[in-house]
Amino acid sequence: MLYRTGPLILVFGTALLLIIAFFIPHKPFGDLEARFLNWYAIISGFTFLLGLDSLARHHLIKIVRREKGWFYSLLLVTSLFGTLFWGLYSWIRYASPFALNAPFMWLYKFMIIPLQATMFATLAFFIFSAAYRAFRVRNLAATLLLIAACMVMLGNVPIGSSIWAGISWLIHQIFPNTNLEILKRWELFAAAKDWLMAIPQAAAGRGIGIGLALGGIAMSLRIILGIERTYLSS
Amino acid sequence: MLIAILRHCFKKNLKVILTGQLALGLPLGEIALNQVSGEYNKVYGRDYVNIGYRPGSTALMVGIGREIRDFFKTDYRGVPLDSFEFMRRVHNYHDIALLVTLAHGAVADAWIQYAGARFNQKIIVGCTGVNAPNMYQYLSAQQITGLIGGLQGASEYETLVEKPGAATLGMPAQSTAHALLIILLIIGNIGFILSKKKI
Amino acid sequence: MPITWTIGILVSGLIAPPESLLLRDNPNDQGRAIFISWVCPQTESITGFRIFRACSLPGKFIALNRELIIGTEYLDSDTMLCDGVPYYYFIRVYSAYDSVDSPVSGPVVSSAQWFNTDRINVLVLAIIINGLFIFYLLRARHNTRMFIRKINGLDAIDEALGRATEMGKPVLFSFGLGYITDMVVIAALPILRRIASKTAQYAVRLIVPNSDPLVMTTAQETVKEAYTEAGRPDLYNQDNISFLTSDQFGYAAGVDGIILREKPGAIFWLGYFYAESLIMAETGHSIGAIQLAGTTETTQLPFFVAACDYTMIGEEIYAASCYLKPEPIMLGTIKGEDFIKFLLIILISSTVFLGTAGRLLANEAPFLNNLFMAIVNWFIPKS
Repeated sequence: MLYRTGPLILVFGTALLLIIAFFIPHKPFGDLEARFLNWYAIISGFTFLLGLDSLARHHLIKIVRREKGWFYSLLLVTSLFGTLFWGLYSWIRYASPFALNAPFMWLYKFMIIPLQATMFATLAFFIFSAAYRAFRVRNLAATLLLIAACMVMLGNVPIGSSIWAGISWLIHQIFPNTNLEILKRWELFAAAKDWLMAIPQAAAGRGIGIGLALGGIAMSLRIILGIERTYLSS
Repeated sequence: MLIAILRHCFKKNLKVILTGQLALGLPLGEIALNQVSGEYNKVYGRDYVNIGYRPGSTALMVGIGREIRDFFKTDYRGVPLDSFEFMRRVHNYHDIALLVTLAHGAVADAWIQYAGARFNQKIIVGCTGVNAPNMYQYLSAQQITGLIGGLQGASEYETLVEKPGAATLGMPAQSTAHALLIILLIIGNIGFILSKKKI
Repeated sequence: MPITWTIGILVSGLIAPPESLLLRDNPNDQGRAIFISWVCPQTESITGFRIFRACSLPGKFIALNRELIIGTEYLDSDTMLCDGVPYYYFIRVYSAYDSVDSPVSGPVVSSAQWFNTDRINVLVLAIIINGLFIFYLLRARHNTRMFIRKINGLDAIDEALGRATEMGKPVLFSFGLGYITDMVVIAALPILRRIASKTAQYAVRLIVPNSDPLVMTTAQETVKEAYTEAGRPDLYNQDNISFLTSDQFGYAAGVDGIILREKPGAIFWLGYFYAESLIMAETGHSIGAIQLAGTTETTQLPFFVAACDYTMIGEEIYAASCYLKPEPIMLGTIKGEDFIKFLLIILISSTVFLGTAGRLLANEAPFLNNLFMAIVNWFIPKS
C-alpha cells in the first residue's frame, strides 16, 4: 500500500510546497525552493554514473563475448575511459579540464568539435531530400508553402538582395517610368521574410504555444493529483 | 556570434559573466573569451569571469533568481566568486543588466520562461536559424529585447561592431547553398509535374 | 598643472550633494536587501556615485561599490547585510576633480516578506485556471459520456507495430534529448508502455536508446512492467534499453548507427528533439521504416512532418495518456483545457478589439486605450 501511495503523497506534498514557496519569499519557504533545486542539481549530476554504468557494461560484455562488432565496442570503451583520464589529469594538473593549454582541451578542439561539426553538417544533405518531399507542388497549399519557403530562403541571404536588384532593373527596363532606386529599396525577399516570420508564423507559433502551455498545466495537475501514474512502477 | 557580442561588451567596458548550460559548450566560450579579452586588454576577474557549468538546467535558472552563489560558489577553476571585486555585488538577476543566451530553442525558451517571466530579466537570444522563427513571438511580445538569428544574425552583428569575422565569411557559402536548394527544388518540381502528366 | 588646479576648484564649487536620500526595505523578497534611491540636482560633470553604509551612529562607514555607479538607484544586497539590524547610509557624488557627500540617512531595517505582492496576477490566474481544471475533473466523475477527437498519430501505433511484426523487424523508440523533468517525456511514457505491451505480445524486439540516464531507468521500468503484464517477462532484455550519450550529435550518430544496423520496421520519435531530429528521421525514412513522431519542440515539427508518416502536433502528445486510457477523470482535464482555451480566445479577441478601438479612437475615447493598457500591464510579470 505504502509502496504505491508513498510516492504519490511525496509528489503531491513537494508540488504543494513549491507552489506555496513561489508566493512566499519568507523563510522557510523562500529557502525551501532553493534547497529543492540544489537537491535536483546534485541528483542530476550523479545520474551520469548510471549512464556510465549502462554504457560500459553493455560494451564490455560485447568485448568479452566477442560479439559481432566487438572491435567498435573496444574503440568506444577506450575512447570513453581515455577522455575520462585526460579530463581528470587536466583537472588535477591545470585546475580545470577546459584550461586552454590542458590536454583535454586539445581533445575537445581537435576531436570533439570536428566530430560534432561533421555530424551537424550531414543535416544539409538530409534537408535537401526532405525539402523536396515537403515542397512538391501537389496542390495549392503545397505550392504556397514552396513560395513562402523560397521567399524566406532568399530573404535570409545576401544573394536575395542581389536577385531583387536584378528583378528591379528588369522591371525598370519594361516600365521606364518606375524609379529604380525606390524599387531596389523595397527588398521584396527580405520584407516578405520578415512579414512571414513576424505575422503568420508567429501567430501559428503562439497558437501552438498556448495549447502546449495548457496541455502542460493539465498534465502537471494530473501528476500532482495522482491521476497520471504511468511514470511510477506498480 | 559570441565573439561579436564579446567585442561589443568589451568595447563598451561592460563586465561579462559567462556560464554554460551544456558542459561541452563551455570551452567554446573560454576560447572566445581568451581571444577577445586579449584584443581589448581585459583582465580575468576584473572585467570578466567564467563561472563554468553546473548540472541542473532549469533549476539553475530559477536558483540564480535568488542567489547565484547557491549554484556557483566558485568560477570554473575553483576560485571563490567573492574574490572577484565586481562579483561581490552580483547576487541574482537584479544585479545582471542583460542576459544573452546563445542556445537552441528549449534552453532559450527556459531562460525566457524562468529568468524573463519570473524575474523580469532583460534577455537577448542568439540561436540557430532553425530556432529563430520560434523566437519571433517573444520578440514581438517584447519578452526578449533582441534576437540574433542564425549565421545571418551573427554576420549582421559582426557588421554592427565593425569587425567582420567567421559569420560574415560564411554568408557566401550560405547564399550558395540556399540558391542551390531553390534551383534543385525547381528542377525537382518540374520533374514531378512532368511525371504526373505522363501518368 | 596650475591650470588643472584652477579648473578643479571651479568644478568642485559647482557640485551639489545628492538630495532626498530614500531608504527602504526591498519589497517582496526574502530579506537582506535594502533599496536606496536619491535625487541628484546636477547631472553635468558628474562621473558617478559611491554608496556608504554603517550599522551604528557614530560608526565606521564602508564603501559598498568600488567602481562608481551612474544611476540614482542602488540595491544593497551585500552578503554581510543582516535582517533586523538598523543601517545608515550616505551617498558620495564624484566629479572629475572633486567629491561631495549627502547627509547621512537612516536607520533602515531589512526584512523578509510573507507574501510576494508582485505575483498577485499569477496567483489569480493560477486559481482560475486550476479551479476550472478541478471543476471539470469533479464533473467528469459523474459524467461517463465524454468525447475525445481522433488523434491519427496514436491510432497509427498498432498499424506501425503490425507492419514491423509482419516484416520480422525490430521496433525503435526514442525520447530524443529529453530529461525526466520534461513534461513531454512523461507524456511519452504511456505510449512506450502501450508499444512495449504490443511488442511483448507479438514477440518483437523493442530498442530504446537513451540520452539521459534517468530517462533510461524509467524506460527500463516501464518496458519491464509492460512485458510482465503481457505475460512475457522472458522476452525482456535490459540491454535493449541502453544509454548512448547525452551529447546531441553523438546521440544522433549512435541512433543512426542502430537504425542502419538493425533496420527497424517501425520507429517512434516521441520526446524532445532539436537539430538532430531530421538527421535521425531521414535515416529512418531511408531504410523504409514507418515513422511516428510527436514533440513539443515546435521548431522541429516541420522536419518531422516532412520525414515521418504521422506527426503529433502541439499538445496532442500530452493527451496521449487520456486517449490510450479514456477514463472519464482523465478526459475531464482535456475538457477543462478546451474550456480554458475557449475563454482565452474570447479574452485575446476582446483585448485585441479594445486595443484597436483605443488606437483608432484615441482622441474621442481615450479611456479605451487606458483600459487596454491596464489589462496588458496587469499581465506583465513584475518580479
